[in-house]
Amino acid sequence: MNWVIFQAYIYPIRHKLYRFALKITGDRHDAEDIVQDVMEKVWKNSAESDHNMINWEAWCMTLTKNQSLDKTRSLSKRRTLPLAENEAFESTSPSLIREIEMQDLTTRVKQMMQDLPEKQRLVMHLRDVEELSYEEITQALGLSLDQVKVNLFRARKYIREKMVPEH
Amino acid sequence: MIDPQPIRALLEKYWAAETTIEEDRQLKNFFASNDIPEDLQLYSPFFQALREEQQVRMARAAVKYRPYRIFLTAAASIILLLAVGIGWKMTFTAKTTAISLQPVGQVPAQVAIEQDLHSGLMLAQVSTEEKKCPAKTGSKMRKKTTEKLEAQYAMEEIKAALSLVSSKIKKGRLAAAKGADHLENIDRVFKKKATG
Repeated sequence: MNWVIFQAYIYPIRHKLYRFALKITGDRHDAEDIVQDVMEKVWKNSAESDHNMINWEAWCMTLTKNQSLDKTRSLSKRRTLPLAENEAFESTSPSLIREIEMQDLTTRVKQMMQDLPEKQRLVMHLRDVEELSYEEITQALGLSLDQVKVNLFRARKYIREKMVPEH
Repeated sequence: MIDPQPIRALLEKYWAAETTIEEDRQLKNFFASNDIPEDLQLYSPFFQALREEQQVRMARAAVKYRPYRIFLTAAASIILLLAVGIGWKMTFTAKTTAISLQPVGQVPAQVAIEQDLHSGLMLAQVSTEEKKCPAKTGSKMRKKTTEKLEAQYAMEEIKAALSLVSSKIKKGRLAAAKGADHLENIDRVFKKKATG
C-alpha cells in the first residue's frame, strides 16, 4: 500500500476501528489485536487495489467486523450483560447525587446497547457513535439500505422502550 | 434556555430513525447541555452513553513490534556480536603472537602504546618481578598477565560492540518516535478539518 494513503485514510480511523471491534468483542485486548491485524492487512494490500478502492473507511470497517466476529465466534466469548426483564428507568429529580445516578444510568444504557441483537448493535454503533452515512454502513456491514434502516429503527425502539416502558 | 419544542419533534424523528447525522448531532449537543427540561431528562443517560462511546480511544499503538520482530532484532544483534568477536579473536591472536616474540624487557612499552595505560603498567610490573624472580616464575606471571590482558581486551571489544548495537537501537527508537509524532500531527489535521 501507498504510505501516503495509509497516513491519510487508514491511520486516522484507528480509534473508530478500535471502538467497532470493542463493540463486537467486548474485550479491549482483543479489540487492540484486531485493529493491529487490520492495519497490517491493509498495509499489505496491493497497490493495484489502492486505485480501485472507493471508501477506505467502509472497507476497514468490514475487515474489522469480519475479524472481530471470527475472533468472537472462535473464542465463544461474546460478553453480554443482560438486564433484568421489565427493568426501566425512573425519572430522577435534581439532587446532589444526580451525577452518580447519571453515571449509573449511563452504564445501564451501555449494557442495553450491548444486549441488542448483533445487526442492530452494529448498525446503531456505526450510525450513532461513528456517525457513518447509511451508504457507508451498507458497505461496511454488507446489508441493504432497507435492512440498515430497519435495524436502526428496531435498535432505537428497543432502547426507548427500556428507558420509557409506556412507549 | 433552548426552546425544547423543536428538540421534542427532533427526538420523535430520531426514535423513528428518520434524522440526518446533523440532526443527531443537534440532539447530542442539546443533551450535553445543562438546560434540559425535566420531562426529557430521562433520555440524557442514552446520549451521555453515546458521547462516552465516542470518546473511547485505543490505548496501545496501532502498529507495534511483533514478537518475531523482536526475535529477529535479537538474532541480528547476536550475529553482530559473534562477527565482532571472531574478528577480534583473529586480530588479537596475531597481536599476542607478536607480543610473545618480543624480548621481555620491550613488552611493556609496546603494549602500553597498543593497549591502555593500566595494561602497560601491569606488564611493567611483571617485567620488574621477572627481573627479581627465577625464570619459571616470571614466565608464569607473564602468561597470567597476557591472559588478563586478553580478557580485558575482549571486554573492551564486547563493550564497543554492545555500544554500537545500543546506538542503533536508540536511533531506531528515535525514528519510530518521530514517525509516531508525524502520524499524530496528520491525525490532528484531519480532525481539525472534520470539525472545521
